[in-house]
Amino acid sequence: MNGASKGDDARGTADSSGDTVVSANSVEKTYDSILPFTRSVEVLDGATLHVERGQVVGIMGENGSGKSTLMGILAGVLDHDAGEVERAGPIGWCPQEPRLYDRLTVDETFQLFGTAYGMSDDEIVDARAWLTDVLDFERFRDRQIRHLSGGNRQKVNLSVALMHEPDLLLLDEPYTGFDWETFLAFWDLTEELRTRGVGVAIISHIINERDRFDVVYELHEGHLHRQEIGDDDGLSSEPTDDDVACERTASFIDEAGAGSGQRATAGQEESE
Amino acid sequence: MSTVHRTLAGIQASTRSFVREPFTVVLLVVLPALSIQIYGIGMGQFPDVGVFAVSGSVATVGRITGAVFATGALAGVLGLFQMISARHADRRLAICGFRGVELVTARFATVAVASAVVSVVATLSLIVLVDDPIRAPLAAFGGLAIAGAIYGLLGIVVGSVLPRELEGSLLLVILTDVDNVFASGLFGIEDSITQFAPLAHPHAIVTEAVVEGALATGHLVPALGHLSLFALLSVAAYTYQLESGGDA
Repeated sequence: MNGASKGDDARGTADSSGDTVVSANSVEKTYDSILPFTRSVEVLDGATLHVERGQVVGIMGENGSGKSTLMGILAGVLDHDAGEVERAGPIGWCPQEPRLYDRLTVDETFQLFGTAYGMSDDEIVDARAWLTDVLDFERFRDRQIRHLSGGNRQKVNLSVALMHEPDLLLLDEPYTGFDWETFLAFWDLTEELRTRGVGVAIISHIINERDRFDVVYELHEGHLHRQEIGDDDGLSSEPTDDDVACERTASFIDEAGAGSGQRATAGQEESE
Repeated sequence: MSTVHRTLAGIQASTRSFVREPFTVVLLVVLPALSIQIYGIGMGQFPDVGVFAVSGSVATVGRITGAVFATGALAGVLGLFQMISARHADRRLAICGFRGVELVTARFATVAVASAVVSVVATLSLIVLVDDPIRAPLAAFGGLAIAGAIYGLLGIVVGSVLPRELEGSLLLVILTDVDNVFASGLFGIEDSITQFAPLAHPHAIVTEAVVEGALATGHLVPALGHLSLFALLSVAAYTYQLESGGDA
């Protein structure tokens, strides 16, 4: 049985009058196997998450914890087995692996995805000019995607998610491969989006960037543990919605805070 | 934004992706001629008396068989690679707003164009390489185009359920080979069996066009029937993989 899901494409169809741009309640997901001698894997077990307008939310967790699966479910790319996901307004989804057409140029990629979003030619040109300028890849516009470096490919990947100015951005390790300047430009852009009221959910390994987030969720053993980021960085290990204590998150963040500066290279984070 | 506009944008993008692989284009030109010559020379080594059940010279039927094989195998592999290279991006495009029917139309139109190009190249190669002039070249092209379209669609099916380059290519080439042996009529296998081979009727159409200079109307309807069946199968397979997140 699939769980309920509303607004299943990037244009969004759910009611957008409230402040919540995406909410997931008690979401469950298991990867079943029909092959003999293989086992099913339970990834999410009652995961609950909310993203408000103008809020930047971090989603963290160890490799294989199911972060990308959660993001896929929030984006409507993957079905979930139980629970409810509601989205309001257009969404922008930036997957971990760029799902782009390798033999199209950057310009053609903007044109194709802009057409998919229902944008006019002028709107596509404006969006392209804005994003190639902000992320600094204007000079690669006539290059085919397959001939771009990993970092530049990731810039196009991010731009495709952003070009229609969505109400909700779902970013799966968006800065993998970015140089330092682009990494900072990315956060400037995120800040700009926050002030515009865009809700942003980011899967990240860069824990010492936690101050940039309003809320951090840690995904551990199928459960999401919510942590508010306060002025004093006093992170709670109290049980969250699903009544599972989150001592692990608090200690993890404390450790990372102590070791600040050692994980600052955006392009070298390990991929899930 | 209209459906037609989005569908045309999808076809344009797929076609650009197809022609921007120079190695594919080179293979497209070279392989049909190579296959026709190898089959023709190989079969020509056998005497024309009683070894094979053929209506024309053994070398000519060999060349026809080579043309049908090359068309089927190339169109099939092109269909497969179309699917494998675009499956994840297609899913993202669907999330961004493309409707399923627009993506299906764009993908199938590209496979149809690719199959037609393969068929044109194979027909031209056959015209040049066969000993006697072909009296019904359009009918020969029609037979090859149907063979190409059937295997292009089969490539979509295989690419949807077995999205692996090596395994998918091997499966398609072996299927084409076995199918073509049944279809060739070289070994006098019962018609009650060979009629179910997808290439049997297109092969008969090409043979009739080359050897007799006529259109084998009796084979046209069954050939189109096979084409329709594979069209349905491929739409179902493509829709399944699109809805499963490109991770089927």
